[in-house]
Formats: sequence, C-alpha cells, structure tokens
Amino acid sequence: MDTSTDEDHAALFAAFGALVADATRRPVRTVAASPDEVAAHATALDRPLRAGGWDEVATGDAFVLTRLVEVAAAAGLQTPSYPLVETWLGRRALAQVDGDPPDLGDRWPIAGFGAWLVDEPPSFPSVGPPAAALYFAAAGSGDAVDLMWTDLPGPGLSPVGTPDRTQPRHRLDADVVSSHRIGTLPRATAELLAGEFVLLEAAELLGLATVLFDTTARYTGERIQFGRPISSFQAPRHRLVDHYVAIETLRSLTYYASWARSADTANFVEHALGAKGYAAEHACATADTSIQLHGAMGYSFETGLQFPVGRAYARALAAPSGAQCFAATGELLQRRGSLLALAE
Amino acid sequence: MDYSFSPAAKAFGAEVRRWIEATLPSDWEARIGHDTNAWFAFQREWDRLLHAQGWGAIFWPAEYGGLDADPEHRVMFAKVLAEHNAPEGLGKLGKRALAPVLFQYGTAEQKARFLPPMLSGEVFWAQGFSEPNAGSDLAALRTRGTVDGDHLVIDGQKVWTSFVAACEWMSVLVRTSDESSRQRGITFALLPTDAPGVTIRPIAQITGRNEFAEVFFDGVRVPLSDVIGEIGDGWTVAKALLEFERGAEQAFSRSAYMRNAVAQTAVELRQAGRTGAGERARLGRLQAAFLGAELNSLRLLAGQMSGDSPGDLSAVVKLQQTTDWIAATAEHLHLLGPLSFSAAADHFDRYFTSRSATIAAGSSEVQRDIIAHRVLGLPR
Repeated sequence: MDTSTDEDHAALFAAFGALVADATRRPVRTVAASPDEVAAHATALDRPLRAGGWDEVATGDAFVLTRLVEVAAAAGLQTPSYPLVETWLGRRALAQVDGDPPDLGDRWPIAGFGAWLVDEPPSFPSVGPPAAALYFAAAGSGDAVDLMWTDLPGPGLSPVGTPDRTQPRHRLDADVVSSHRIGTLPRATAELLAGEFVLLEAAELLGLATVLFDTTARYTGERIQFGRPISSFQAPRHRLVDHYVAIETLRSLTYYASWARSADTANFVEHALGAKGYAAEHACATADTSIQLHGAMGYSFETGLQFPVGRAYARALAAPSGAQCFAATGELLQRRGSLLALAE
Repeated sequence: MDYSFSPAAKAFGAEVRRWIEATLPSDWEARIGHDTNAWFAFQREWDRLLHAQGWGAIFWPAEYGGLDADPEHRVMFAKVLAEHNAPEGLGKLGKRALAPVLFQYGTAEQKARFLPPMLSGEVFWAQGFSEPNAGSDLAALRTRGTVDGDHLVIDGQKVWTSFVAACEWMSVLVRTSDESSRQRGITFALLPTDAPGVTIRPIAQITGRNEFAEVFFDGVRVPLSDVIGEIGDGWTVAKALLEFERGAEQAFSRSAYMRNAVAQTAVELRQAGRTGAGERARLGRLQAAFLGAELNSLRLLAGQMSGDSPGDLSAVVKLQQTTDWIAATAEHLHLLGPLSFSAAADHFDRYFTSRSATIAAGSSEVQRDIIAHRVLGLPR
C-alpha cells in the first residue's frame, strides 16, 4: 500500500503549475470582464498547452489528469479562462468514439458529460474561440450512446448567469439544438467518461479550495489587529483548521477516486460522484470563509477572491451539482443496503 | 499510488472474518443494553477469547507473546473487527497504550510481572490521568506522590477514569515535586485498584451506563519498584503513552463507528419507504464523510508502513473522524424523525455514546490547536 502521490510525477506537476501561473499572471482587471479579455485569457493558456504537447495527457492516466487539474486550479487566485476540464475530456471522448474523427475545423472540443449522469441538459463554458460543445444524447437505456456536437456559441445554446466572470456559460436546449452525431460509444464507456468529468470537477474544486485556504491562512497571519495576527485568535484559527481538515479529507476522496478508475472500475463513478459532492460543499464553505476572514479586503475586487470563489460556486452548482451527486450516491446506498466498500 | 492491501494481509483478514463470524453474536450489544456490569463482563470475556485464538495483542513483539504484526496486518485486524462491530475488549488501554510504554521504559522485572497477565486477560488496566482541574491541561495535575523510604505515598483524586471499576490495576500520574516547568516533577506509577486507601466512585454518564469513575487516593503506598521511568520524569513516559494511543488502528475503529451509524440509517429509511431526494442527498453526504474517514485512516497506515510515527496527521484524522461521527449520529435522528421513537431499537443510545468522541483522548479544541500550531504553523 502506498498513498503518496507526488514522487513519480513531481516535476510534471510543478512544471504544469508554473505554466498555468505564468499564463494567468496578467489578471482579468475589469469588474465585468469583456469578451475580448476572456478570450485573450483563454488563448494565453491554450498556446503553451499546445506548444508543450500537454494535450497528450488528456488521453492518459486518470490520476495524472486529476493532479494536473488540481495544480492548475491552485496555481493562483486568477482562474484561467481556458476550460481545462472540458477540453481534456472532449479530447478523451474523441479518442474513444468509433468511426472517423469528426471534422471540427479549428473548434475547441468542449465536453459537457457530467450532467448526463443525472439526466440534465449540460452547460458549457464559452470563452471566445469557436468551439464544439460535445455531449451525450439523452440517457435512454440501450447499450450504446450517441456522442453529439454543436457549435458553441450557437443556436440551441442559451447564455446563462454564472458567478464565474472568467468563463461565461451556455446551457444546451435539447429541443432546438442543431447538432451533429459524431459516433457511438458503449454505454459503459460513456459512463466512465461522465465519471471522469465529475472526477476532474472535484479535482478543480480541490485546487480552488487549496488556493483559497492558503491565501487566507497567509493573510490572517500577516494582518495585525489588537497587536497580534488575527489568526492567533481562537475563532478564526479554529475555523481555518476545520477547513484544512475538510480539504485533506477531500484530497483523500479525490485521489482515491482517480485510483479507482483502474483499480475498482465498477465503483468508480460512485466514488467520483461522492468526491464531487464533498468537494462542492467544502470548496464553497472555504470560499465563504476566505471572504469573511479577509474582511473588507476580501470584499474588494483588487484582492481577487471573486475569481476562485466564482469558479468554485459555478463548478459546484453545474449538473451534477453537489446535492445531485449526493442524491445519486445516496440512492445507490439505499438500493445496496450497505455502504460502498473500499477495494482491499 | 496503490490503496490495496497485500495478499498476506488479505488472507489474514479472511481468517479473522471467519473466526468472528463463528464466535461473535451479531446482537451482542442489544443483549447487553444498558447493563454496565454485563458490558464489562462481555468485554473481559472477549479479550480472553482473542487471547485463546492467539490474537490477544498481535502488535506486541513476539518475545512478549505478540505476533510482531506489521502496520498493515494490525490495520487489517482492526478493520475487520470494526466492520463486524466487534467489541474492542476491556484490555485495549493496557495492551495498546501501557504495554508499549513498558516495552520502552519498563524494567525487566516490571515486564515479567505485568505483561503476561495483561496479555492473557487475567489483569485489566485503567489509566488515571485526568483530574477535576486537569483535563485538557493535564500538566495542571495535583495528585501528590511523596517518596517515603522505598515507597511512593499517593494522595489526591483522578476523574473520568474509564473502566476502573472493572480493572485490577491502574497507571497514575502524580506530582512528586514542584518545578518551574509544570511538565517536570511528574511521576508515572502503577498500583492495584484494591490497594488500601483507594476508593472508586462510579460516575453515571448520559448514556445511562457507568463506564468511568472518580478515584480517590488516601495515603496509598506504592513500591518504588512500580514506578515507570525516573521519579519526576513521568511526563516523558505519559507523552509516549499518549502517542501510542494514536495511529491507524484507532482511526479504523473510529471510522467503523461511522459506518455503523450510516448503514443503520440507510436501512431504516429504506424500510420506512423514505427514499426522497432529500433523504438520499443526506445519506450520500454521510457516506462521503465515512469514506473520507476510512481513506484518512489508510493515509495514516501508509505513513506508518513507511516508518513514520502517527505524528500530527493523527490529529487531523482524529478531528475529522470524530466530528463527522457525532454529526452522523445526530443526522441519523433528524433523518428518522418520528421513526426514531422506536420500541424495537434504541436510536438515541448511539447519539449519546458518540458525544464523548470529540471530548476524550484530546478534545477537538485541543486537536485544533495542535493542528493550527504544528501542522499549519499559524502564529500564536
């Protein structure tokens, strides 16, 4: 047994974190981020990802993907507009679908697979460059599932409100969408892809919780009031500890789920849903505390908390939301009559 | 990264499972109910059964009657027992905490005298640390020990001493001198609970049982040969003992309490036809907290397998598990609502029993302070 995670790929994760930090070092300055600003921000990360061959990791090991998404989200307060989870899952699906690869032109493949697990219409981040929104046709019950794409932005995709200024969002309207069929996937493959999508969402939430926590611990250690750092007072101190403990527990759940992708495949999707459910709750709670403990500075735009906070809430609430994840795993628990067992 | 147990550990786990299924009545708790004496008797008998099977203390060195079990086998043993809701045995405090202290600090004579009956279940041990004015602040203890020739004379009081009414011996921390540092001048001694001058007064708990007690010492004479370590250096011994109380085995026992709470809730809700989205979401949340508890235990185990001491990660694990466990027992009641008023099962017992988890063995407030200072490096 070995639950350590970083030794084999430490250099890889460090390099990726540095790459993301560098690409996002010019923050989105305007309160209402303009479309040009968002697009420029997305392209700023797209270029080095392509140049560095990072797209190849999209079809690789689930744990490596998980850690890279986490590292990217924790790289700094400025969240990248580039939709890492969606594009990597999009490439992953295209590599597995039967038939000839579709001609998407220059469109970025943006996946929206998680919502399929709870039979909800997916939503997609739309960050400027032309994209292809990839999704599974309605759940049904057959052995095969159709992989579809439609232009993003495009007809049948309606813009929706989101707290995430760096990733405007569109929701699919399945009744009117003009879509194209890419090919079919076995249902089991589609479920695994959807589970991987949810897993990477949990990983991003883990990274966001981490950067919010670290920033808050640092700030409260430096901010002096009544002659001492405010984190020396018991109330904020203990609050920080509780978030730290929850984040470490989330780390346990997320990393295990990534291991389960190959080691306990039958239960992988349930583990991924549980990880996202936990992540949604605790990343948002950490977000709430980060603003509170920064005081008025947290409430001010210049500090930048609104970026990871907005991303955390957007991720937590996108289908399957945290509550939907827990409802799904709760249903499995009730049907089974026993708790999900860890693989021995 | 690999979360799987080795084939040898799995085989051991299978053997333990077979033995438990053949030996432990699944309804043992229901049979005992709130009868404290029956509970003590069952726990003592369980220790003897384990010893007869050769599993009295698998983690002890073979030279003292153990199996020299590595951390993985120890955790597998604890995990399987916990999965079957097996009792922990009355000997756990002695075997898990005091024995390692004897291995490290005891004389050859002390080891020869105390270890064999501890292992066999002839003698059970209690731990006299806390006092009315020394709980979280243990160094504030005031029970005096005065050297008189070749004896230590003890006067004072201990409180919250678990299981002492059913134990033949106990360890005590006493103050033998007043030093500039409160941790200095403390001595670690062993004494029989029926020694002249010892009075035990059971304390009723909110569970309705009397598992712990006050212990009064009035001129109790203890041979100096029953002092562990040096006079005045008992804090070193006590710290080692408290360290031995942590670790992955204890973590798995705690996560098992959560398992039982969540599983029972899920089954009862399904039987009552309560399968709405709200109930399912709350069950899913409980399951995630439980899995997190188990996985945190595995991280502790993996660290121990690499040679790390439980250290400060054990504080993180303890805080998470106990906080989520007591939340789970309360959530159980809220989910059941009026169904919790059942003649068939005592749903409130688990709630009341769980309350001690965030208080004993280092309260959650203390754990938070340890984590804040030692793990996070937050300023004081």
